[in-house]
Amino acid sequence: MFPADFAYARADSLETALGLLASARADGEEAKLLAGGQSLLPMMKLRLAAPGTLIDIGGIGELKGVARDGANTVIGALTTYRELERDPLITATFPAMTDALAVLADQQVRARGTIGGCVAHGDPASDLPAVLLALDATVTIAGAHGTRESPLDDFLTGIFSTDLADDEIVTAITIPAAPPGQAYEKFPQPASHLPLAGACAAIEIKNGAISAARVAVTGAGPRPYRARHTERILASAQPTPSVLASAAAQAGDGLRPLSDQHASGPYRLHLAEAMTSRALERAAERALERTGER
Amino acid sequence: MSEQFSGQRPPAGRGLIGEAIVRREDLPLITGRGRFTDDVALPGMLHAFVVRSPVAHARITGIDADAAREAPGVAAVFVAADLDQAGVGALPGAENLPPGSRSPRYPVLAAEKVLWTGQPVALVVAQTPALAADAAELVDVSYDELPAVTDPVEAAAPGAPVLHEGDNVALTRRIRSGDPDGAFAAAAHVVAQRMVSQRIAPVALEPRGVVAWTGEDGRLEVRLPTQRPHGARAWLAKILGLPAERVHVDAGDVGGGFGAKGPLYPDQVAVIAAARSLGRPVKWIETRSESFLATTHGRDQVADLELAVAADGTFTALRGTVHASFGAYMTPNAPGSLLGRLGPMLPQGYAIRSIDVTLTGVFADTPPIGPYRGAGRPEAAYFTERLADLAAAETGMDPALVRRRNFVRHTDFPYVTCTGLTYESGDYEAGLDLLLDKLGYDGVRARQATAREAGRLLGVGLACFVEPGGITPRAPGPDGRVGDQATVTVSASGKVTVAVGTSAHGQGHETAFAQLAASLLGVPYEDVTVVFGDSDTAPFGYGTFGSRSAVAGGSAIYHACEEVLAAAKRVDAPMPLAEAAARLGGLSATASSGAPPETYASGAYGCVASVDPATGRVTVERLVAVDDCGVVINPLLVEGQVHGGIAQGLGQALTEHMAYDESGQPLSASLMDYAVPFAASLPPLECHSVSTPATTNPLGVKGMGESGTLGATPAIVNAVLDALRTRGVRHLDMPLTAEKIWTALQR
Repeated sequence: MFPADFAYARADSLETALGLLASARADGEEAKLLAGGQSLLPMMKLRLAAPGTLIDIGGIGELKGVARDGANTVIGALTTYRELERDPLITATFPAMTDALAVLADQQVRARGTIGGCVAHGDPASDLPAVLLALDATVTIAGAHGTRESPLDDFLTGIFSTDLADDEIVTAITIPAAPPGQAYEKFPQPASHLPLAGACAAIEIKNGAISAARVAVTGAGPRPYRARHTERILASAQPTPSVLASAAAQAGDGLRPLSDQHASGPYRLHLAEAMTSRALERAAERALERTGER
Repeated sequence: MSEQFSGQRPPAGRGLIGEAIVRREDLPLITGRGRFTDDVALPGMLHAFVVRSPVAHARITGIDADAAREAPGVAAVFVAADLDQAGVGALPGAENLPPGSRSPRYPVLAAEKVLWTGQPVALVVAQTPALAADAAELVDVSYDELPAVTDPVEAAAPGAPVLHEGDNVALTRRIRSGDPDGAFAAAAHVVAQRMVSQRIAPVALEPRGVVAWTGEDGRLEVRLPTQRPHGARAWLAKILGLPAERVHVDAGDVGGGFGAKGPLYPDQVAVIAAARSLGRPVKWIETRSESFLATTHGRDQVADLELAVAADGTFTALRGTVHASFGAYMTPNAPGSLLGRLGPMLPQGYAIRSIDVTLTGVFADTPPIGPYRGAGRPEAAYFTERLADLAAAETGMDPALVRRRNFVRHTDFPYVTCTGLTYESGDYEAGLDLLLDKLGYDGVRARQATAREAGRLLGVGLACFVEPGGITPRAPGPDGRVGDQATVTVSASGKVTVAVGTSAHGQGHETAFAQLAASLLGVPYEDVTVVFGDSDTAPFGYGTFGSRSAVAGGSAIYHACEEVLAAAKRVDAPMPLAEAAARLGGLSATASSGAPPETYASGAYGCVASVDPATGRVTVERLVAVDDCGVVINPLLVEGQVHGGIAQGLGQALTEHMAYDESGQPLSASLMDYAVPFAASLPPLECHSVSTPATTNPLGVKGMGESGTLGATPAIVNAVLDALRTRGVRHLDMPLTAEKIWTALQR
């Protein structure tokens, strides 16, 4: 558990960090950003990652915190899981995120791990991306030539692979207004507690029918994905148990599930459906509680 | 030695015996004042990194360490030839092997072949751990890879890849007595099942390590997290060709062992040899991931057993085979776990009069097997308790009734089993009665019936077991005396020091033995200090393993206290011990435990578990433990041992498995992949006790440090399979993962 030799630089502003990234790139050197370090450092200790330079962005204040911007909620990339857990705006607006944060890793990881690090890492078995996909989040990315926005669904490209260039930094996650009918359910791998499958549902119920539905699944496939077939079945339907069940049964449609010593492909596929079913039931319950239609 | 103590109470000093005194060890440990091996830092100390085989089975065709030797900060690189040149011998082989067995030479560093993924091949010593790790990447070892075998049954089969010479069978022993053939011919029912007790890892909180240096007096100084300081000293002296008095081993604080810190390991010997060769202190601490490759594992047996059952549910005979893996090489106690524990304990607490079981120990391309909490005992309890449940299902009898029908009666002690063991005392029915009462057995069964009607899967599992403990060799030790020693010293100021040859590593002996000595001597508890773990200051003993310390260490302390009390009578008038000690300028006595016969503790455990039919996930709702370990010195310590054992037993039942792929690569060699239970995996544990004192030692105590693993594993598995019974599932092998259960439910 001893990382290979690396240089360490600390950036105290976004500008400095981008400058350090650019000069590393110019030197042809592999640089990695260190935020909470909860994924990168274990990989370095196992020598699965051996960056030449580590640029510590953990102290950049401008990338921390949760703010309201009109109907949107903007979360700084360096906001830790614990800060999100304790943020009144998050708790009041995004119950699915609260669900996920309660079962995400352990206290120590939650104290240091950041939402930006989670998104940039592209881990196929990470909890929050399912929530962020279901909440239609957008990733804000800063680079040498300015800032760009990318819907999370476009940003995630595969196993540990994202649409983030070597000289770019994820600066914020933006979530639009969300319906109160949200829930996240996961089935943890018993050792790592990462989701073998996790599902998030965000649904809006108006006049007894589902007026909007987004469902996302993580852990089961090469990347967290939107369960669009499920969403189509839910659209404009009445949220009856049988509708929810038949929608959930399509959560793995088109999925090429991961398979390893922890779970076979067919079992992961089944868990994706089972967790979707539970998330939908709870999301519908919460939606009805809030609208008083129950 | 067959001295019998007929009393039902400990004979003297009941003062604090049985009191729930809080552990005196805890405050320093939880406030960071423990002194573990990794806390040792010496001037000029170097750090080692072990180069391990990346493949399971291969011929070594070359080692080029030149680049590593020239790397920054490197003091030396050692390969097998360097150690040969320094006169370093092989690891100790197995103890008490039956004739005809094989115990191949176990080299410190592999020279010709590697036999498991992780076997040490070279040792790099450098100024820092990180520089040693960097240089280790430059050691170029060429391997000619061979097919590997990791499963004990496959390893024993003809045509399997051969690790050593000839074939992989290290030993076989047939246990046969009574009339098994007649019993099976006459049986109304025969239940047969293949059962696997899978390979699992001990995962102590403190990993292994070592610091070695040459002391000012020229002696070899070794700081070693070990359960057996005197044993380690003797082994080291032999391997290094030194007289034992030239070696000093100090265990210091040890953060859990569970058996795995009993053996001496090749990596530790290589580090010690490096320190001698370089004339500088060298430290090595195992990383967590490394421990899955380098520390002994436990279990890894496959049993094919049949139980003959009469029409009334009486178990009449047991027969079949057990294949046990020893891994790549034999460690000292590995054969004993199979031959002395697993096989002979198969009858458990049942009056089975006939047996015909063949035990086969094999080599396979996996880390060597060592003792792991129970070491043969949990496996025997698991196999027999699964068969008991299968017999209940076959005969239509209640699992509680079928067990009760077969128990050795409390009036039949001392009881000699068909395997030749003598159980000194016990009351298995009393244990089961208390369990059923605490479980609210009838109520739970009624709840189960309701749940089943509603389509829910709820199960109740029972497991009754017998746990041997307190093993002490009958032959004299290196000091010429039989057993473990204790030295009890009363200073002229009246303070008492108890030095003992057992060696705790988390059990709480400082507390328990102080309670014991204070009670026996009639002095305040606070005035007693207990020391162990240092081969200079602790008298000889075999260390702490196999639930032996209360029996062996406790008996030695008892005899030493008796001698001190007798010596105190030399003063001319009756007076308190402290005064007598002051008058006599201090008192001291060393006494031996002798070799008291083993004790046989027992227990009855119950589990209520539910299964989520949608995912196969198990929830353990209740776990009720009834233990009988004779006289209890400190109920808090007993309960702590039970809790720890239950957690480990639950791990084996539900999640833990050291799995390998076809080429012998480990699939679960990190805590991200190997699932030990979390606190949240356990329900609140309900612990109760009955007490039938041992009649074979002066304290009436019975060993109990492993009972939780004996009871919890089969109770949980029986509960889960009881929940699945109406869905046509008869047996599943551990670990009972959600996927395994879900898949069975789909059939």
